[in-house]
Amino acid sequence: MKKNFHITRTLLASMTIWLALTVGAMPAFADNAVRLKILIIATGDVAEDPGLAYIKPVLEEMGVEYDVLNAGARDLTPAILASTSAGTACKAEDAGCVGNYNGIVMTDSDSVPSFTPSEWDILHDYQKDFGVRQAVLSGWPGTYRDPEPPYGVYLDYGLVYSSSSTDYDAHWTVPPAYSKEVFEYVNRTNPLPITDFAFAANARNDTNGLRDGSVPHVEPLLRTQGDEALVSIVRYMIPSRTTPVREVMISTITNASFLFHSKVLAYEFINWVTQGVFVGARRVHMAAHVDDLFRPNSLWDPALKKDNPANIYRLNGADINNAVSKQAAFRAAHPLARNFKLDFPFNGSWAVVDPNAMPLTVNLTEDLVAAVAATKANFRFINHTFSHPDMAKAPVPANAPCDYVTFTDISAIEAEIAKNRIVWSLLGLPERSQNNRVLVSGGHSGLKDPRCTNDSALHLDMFDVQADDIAFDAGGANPLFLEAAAKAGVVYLAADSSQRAENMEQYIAQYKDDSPTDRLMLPRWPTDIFYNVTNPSQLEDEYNYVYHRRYISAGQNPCEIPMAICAPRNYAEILMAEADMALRHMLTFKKWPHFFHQANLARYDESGNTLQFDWLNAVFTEYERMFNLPVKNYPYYLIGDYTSESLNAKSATIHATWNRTTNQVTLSADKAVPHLLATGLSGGERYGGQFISRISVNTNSTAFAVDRALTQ
Amino acid sequence: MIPHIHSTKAIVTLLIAALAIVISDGTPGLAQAFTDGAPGLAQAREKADETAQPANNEKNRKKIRKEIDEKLKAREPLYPRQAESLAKQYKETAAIVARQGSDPKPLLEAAAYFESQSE
Repeated sequence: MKKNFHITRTLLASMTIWLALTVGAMPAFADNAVRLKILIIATGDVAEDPGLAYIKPVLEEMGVEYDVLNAGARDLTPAILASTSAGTACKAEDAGCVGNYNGIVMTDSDSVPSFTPSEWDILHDYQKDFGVRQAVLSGWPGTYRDPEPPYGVYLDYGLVYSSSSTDYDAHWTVPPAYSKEVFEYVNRTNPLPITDFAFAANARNDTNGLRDGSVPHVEPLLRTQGDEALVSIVRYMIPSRTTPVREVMISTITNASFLFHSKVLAYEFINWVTQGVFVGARRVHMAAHVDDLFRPNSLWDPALKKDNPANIYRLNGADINNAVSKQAAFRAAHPLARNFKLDFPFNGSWAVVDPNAMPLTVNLTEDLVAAVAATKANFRFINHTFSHPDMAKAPVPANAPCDYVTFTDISAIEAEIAKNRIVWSLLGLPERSQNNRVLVSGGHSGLKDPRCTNDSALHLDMFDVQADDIAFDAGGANPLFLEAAAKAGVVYLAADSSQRAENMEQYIAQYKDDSPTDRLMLPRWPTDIFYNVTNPSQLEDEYNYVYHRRYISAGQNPCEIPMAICAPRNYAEILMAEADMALRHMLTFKKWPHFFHQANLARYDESGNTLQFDWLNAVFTEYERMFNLPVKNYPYYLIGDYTSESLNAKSATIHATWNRTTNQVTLSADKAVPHLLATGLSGGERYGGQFISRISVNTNSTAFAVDRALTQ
Repeated sequence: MIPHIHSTKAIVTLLIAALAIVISDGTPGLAQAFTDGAPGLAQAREKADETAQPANNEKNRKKIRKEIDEKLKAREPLYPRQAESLAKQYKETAAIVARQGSDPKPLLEAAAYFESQSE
């Protein structure tokens, strides 16, 4: 419990008198100013509060400024919410008084026992005074009476509990008046399954009110199959006014980062509380990298339960031409992906007449090379090194047994990068100069140390050959590789997000690479469309072996293993699971691509179907069932540029104030931020019914007009 | 390189139907799979399938979604402690609700749910 409960109680008595005097006289929302920052009121730290653990990464990815008040450790005071430069509490009508937050997020609906009735009054007073909204992420839809003076109801969402379940088929019921403001990005024609604990409630909409005289009026936005409310807007009305004195969005669904329904809801909690005006933005992205173009690879053998070196596949001209038509069909079928292009990280060694000859000559008489050259405008390309060598550290001692060959000098690594650029030019592939700053090493090698064991077929005694790897953050990266990349002018290096410490965008600063600047790591998501499969039956067999049967063979129960699946899946079910996972990735708003391999683009039937486009179609079919936001498909170098801009913006302290009288946001920063994203300002790109601007900010204040796009 | 499509053609043919379920509900290709045999019976089966298929898809999709939720939950190291906190909070809310003269049962059930999740 907190310390100053008695102090706040005294304060409460005086505030109640003040409230009674002022609430009737207040304008709808006072003409005042608020900083563009969210206050999260949590019940604990991220280890204790799933709501905080859920919303924090979303705010960070979007670049939205926020503070956290752990209600269990600190009292809420008026000065926290609005204070003068001297640190004393102030009111909106006081000259120069600026509200510190333009939105309040409560992770729990009642936050008992940490949040006292007087703290609720302080919070509600601030919301009414400064016209600031609140969102509740989860909790009990209750009504709470203060057992102490001044008594009365201090918290009431206007809801009455009706049922609880871990399984609701929710449907959208956003009233037309809100259709341009809330859940505009959702395809409201389809249900949203709620898969974890939720309370459902009915709107009371009676005349019972709170002790400040306001009466909650509930408008459900998401309801159960029995029409009970799960997510609602609560407008607190007083008889003398037609506009609310306070507005709250409440969810009574448990929300957490790992729940699909939570990913669907997350944006609106932020958008709602900020009234659609905030520093930062979100977009949904999808890029598909088909690695190893030109390079053959061995395939999974269902009889052997491993790769069969005798069974190899390399794309052919017909596959490439098929990919052109499948890509066109995909775009036509999915308007939200209408500009989509596949990216091909390629290995030029298999596209030249003689990889050891200089100068290099591309082999245009070869079927695949000719097809790629002829259709190059349909795709994008990425340097994947000339011959896909392993860039990992050399073993110590040098003659120790190792599954792969390693480099011991920088020039050989540089040559791998440079020779592939020559092939790029010889084939006339598009956007070479922009792509010089990007590199995808073979198998993302060079960023961790596999300690010479990366082929499970050679280490049957190891259940997982990666178990002994030295990760990126433990010193596993190869400094020679990083130095060679720097010398070759590479700025962005691809990483595998499934590897430890490679699942974040980060500058590689902890390794010496003899360069004044650091490479920027750009993670990519793997999928379960394995590199060594060309058709559904192969995939089914390997998938079910990897996630189910091998555990049974090892005498383990796959149902008890988090990585495993309880029962085998057929191809349709695999695609459903893949689509579900890909959507979860997309809803993190990260720009990270998904990576595949050339064999996945093989035409496996007479209709020209491929695993690659089956995956993309499954993902977008599911995406379109849930959303109507266009999906961004950027080239990898642009993903690097935007990531760099976003990291620069996050490293700055942004000062943003929204003056409601002038309806302008004034922005400045503690350093130059040439590309800052902001939502709700006039101009910029219209996306999901809102304006997203990319603006330049520096230490001088600049004013920008607000446009919430509520009528468009 | 030699393509290796031929070896799996038979299996692939069977799988096209399964794929069509996911990618484009009610495609002609899928319907044709049910039109062999007596015309009346085929039509009836086709009709029944049209009705049942979206429901089955929805059921299957939800089942898989829930499975993934559960797997990700199991891999979240902080979740047991978070669930424990939620259980404690709901018990405290239940006590308040009871003091106010209302039924605390749903809150105690919620507390029990999160208690079980924390184990």
